[in-house]
Amino acid sequence: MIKVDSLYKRVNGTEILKNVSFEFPAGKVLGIIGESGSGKTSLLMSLSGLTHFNEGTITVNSLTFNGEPAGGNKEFIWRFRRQSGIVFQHLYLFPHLTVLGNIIEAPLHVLKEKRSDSEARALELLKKVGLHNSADKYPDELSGGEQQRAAICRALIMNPVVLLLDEPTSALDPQRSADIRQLLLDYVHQGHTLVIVSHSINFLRGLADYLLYMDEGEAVEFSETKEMLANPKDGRTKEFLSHF
Amino acid sequence: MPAPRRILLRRMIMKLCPYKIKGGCITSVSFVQDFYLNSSSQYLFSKVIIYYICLKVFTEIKKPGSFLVILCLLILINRSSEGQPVLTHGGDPSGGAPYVFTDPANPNNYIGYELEIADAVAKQMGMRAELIRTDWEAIVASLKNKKFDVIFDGFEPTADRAREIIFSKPYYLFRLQLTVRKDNKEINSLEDCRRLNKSVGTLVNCAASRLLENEKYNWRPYADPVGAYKDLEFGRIDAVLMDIPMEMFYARSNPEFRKAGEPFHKGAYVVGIRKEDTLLQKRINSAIDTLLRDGTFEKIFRKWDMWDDFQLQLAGKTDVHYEITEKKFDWIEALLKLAHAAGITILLAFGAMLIAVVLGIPLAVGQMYGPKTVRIFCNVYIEFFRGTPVLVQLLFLYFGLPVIGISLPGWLTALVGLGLNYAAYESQVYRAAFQAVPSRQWDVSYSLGMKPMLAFRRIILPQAVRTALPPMTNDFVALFKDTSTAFAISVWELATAYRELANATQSYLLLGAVVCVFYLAMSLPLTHYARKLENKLKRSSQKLEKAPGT
Repeated sequence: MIKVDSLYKRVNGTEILKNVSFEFPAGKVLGIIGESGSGKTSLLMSLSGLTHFNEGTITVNSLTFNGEPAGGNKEFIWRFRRQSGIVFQHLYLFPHLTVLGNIIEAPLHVLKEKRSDSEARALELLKKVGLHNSADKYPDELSGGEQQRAAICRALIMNPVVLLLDEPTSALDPQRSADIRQLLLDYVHQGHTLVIVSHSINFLRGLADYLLYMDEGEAVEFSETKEMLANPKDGRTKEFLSHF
Repeated sequence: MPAPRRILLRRMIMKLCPYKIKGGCITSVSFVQDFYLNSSSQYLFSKVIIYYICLKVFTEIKKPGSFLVILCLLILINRSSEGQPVLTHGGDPSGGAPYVFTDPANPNNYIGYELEIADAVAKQMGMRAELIRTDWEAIVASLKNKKFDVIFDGFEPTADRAREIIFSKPYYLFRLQLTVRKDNKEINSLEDCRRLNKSVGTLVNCAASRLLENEKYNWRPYADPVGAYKDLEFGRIDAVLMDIPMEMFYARSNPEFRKAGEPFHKGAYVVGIRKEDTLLQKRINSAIDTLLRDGTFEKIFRKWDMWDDFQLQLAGKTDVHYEITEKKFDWIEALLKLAHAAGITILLAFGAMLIAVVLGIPLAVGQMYGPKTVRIFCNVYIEFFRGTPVLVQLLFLYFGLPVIGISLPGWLTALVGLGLNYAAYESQVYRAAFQAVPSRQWDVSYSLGMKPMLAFRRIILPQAVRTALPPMTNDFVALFKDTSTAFAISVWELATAYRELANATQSYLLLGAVVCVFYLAMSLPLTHYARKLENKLKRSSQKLEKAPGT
């Protein structure tokens, strides 16, 4: 279960997130939509535990994070962060490591796994996304779509409770975009939870179970995908959706 | 004398200053001023530059009145250098008391008994003497290159110099004096130094240095007497052998020192003249004769407290006996010396780089993440070491630290000094390299469960090293060359060795080529290895450039 309750985040007196609340069960997919600068990525960062927020709580699985500022309970923050895997818009693969090296880095040094075990798991993941032949390549030898898949594998190998994706298709052509979508669908069918920030409704249609429309830091509308697309309640949502 | 012309130029610059002139223009004017005053007025080149600058200034201010001002000044400048014929003489004012040195009362002016001797000689010949500042070590080469007409600088006739230039007759007889620290009871003669293997310091390229070298003493050359006596005081060497005029000026009044034995080795000061100027030699000789006889020289020497009955031997006599030293030269020995100096250069470069690379890390971290006091300290450190010349820093460490009781040997001072200096540069390389790593790399690492130290070590550091390596290689090569500044504190590294050997042989060209080969032999493998390392780290991005359609 993922639950966000009355979330506020302020930076230098500007409210970036205003009273954001929603809740959806595990094993489902949430799509966050909205214009640039509407607070989508900030919300995603808050969910991942990588940034702090001023008010409210975020519950992922059984852990509730109250956004405490730096110097709080570090062990708790580490545990909270471990629950989510995040794939940034620009991926940020580790350029000095091979694809395989990128993926097994955390299992080796955080989980202290044996290298052979990590490599076996990594190759299995890579095989699923069709990248097993590129395991020894460096990130900048890969195409955009391959990089995207490598980054997803890097997050998945830590078995996160929820996978967070920021604009996963922004740099991809339609074909690659469809490939990624299929990959994510397979992942969801295995019972995993996803949060996807995207400005592409078409990408989310049939993938996301729920949609959250954000505007200027507010959670304007939250409902099941079919419901929102067919019958948006808020005027701003209607206006936004009319562009597609 | 250069003073009136200097004032003229000052006035010219002052006149121009109220107008809006670009900063660079003023700088170039003062550069030219320096250049102009340093070379003979016979040299057209400097004048051409002055004209050019004036033209530039004029075109920039574009005021009709200023043109007249500049024109008048130009005429004045020209007139001041005409009239009486000029005898330009080379002298080194750095640490040059009582010969030629900066007037403590007026730092723009030079004084010294040699100036007065030169003035008297020139006057006797119906000329006007003009000092050209030069470097003592290369003074013979400068004379041969016609930077000035003659040498007046406590210049001793030596057999090796006699092959290059000719001398006037002597106008002063000096002897050498050995000085030791007061608490030293062992050394009472130069022979004691050899017997006890004590180190003796002296001025580079003089009679004493030739004596010490030929007799294979344990000796160290110094660029100026101040350094030698300071090192004696600080215990870096055990004795100093120096011409009496210098000993009198720099050592006699120091209560820490005592004379070791009586003065010895009768030597003479003469005027150095180019080989082809035999007529000038005759005129100078007859002028010296007259001035010795009529007591003019005696008056000057008495004024400087340099007169002794010894000098009476000179007056009226034609053939005074004095000792002439010789500098032997042997190519094999020279190459061995160069190799030894190269070894020291390598030691300095590697040692200093090690200090810089290690010390740069806390500096960079402190500057970026430290609490306020640490940040301020790091900033002050970095700005201080980057903003002041490394030469000044070395001199400060070498002569300043012993005052508070830390007396390091020269090579260690150079090593530490260069290390401290380059640490400031390396810290900035690190800072830039870390800032070039996207902060999202931290976020990714954290979300994968890494803690800060692990993320830093495994993810951030390797990426920063990739960015930092090329500028670090660059700094290392620069440091390699900067080891030559250690000359200032009498460390016998490659550049020092070159200057000294080249002075001995006058073969600047050949030895210069050999020294360059030495430097290249050391720095090329380095840059080669560094490039290989860079390529290894960058291999993936290079492959990418070749791969189409990505």
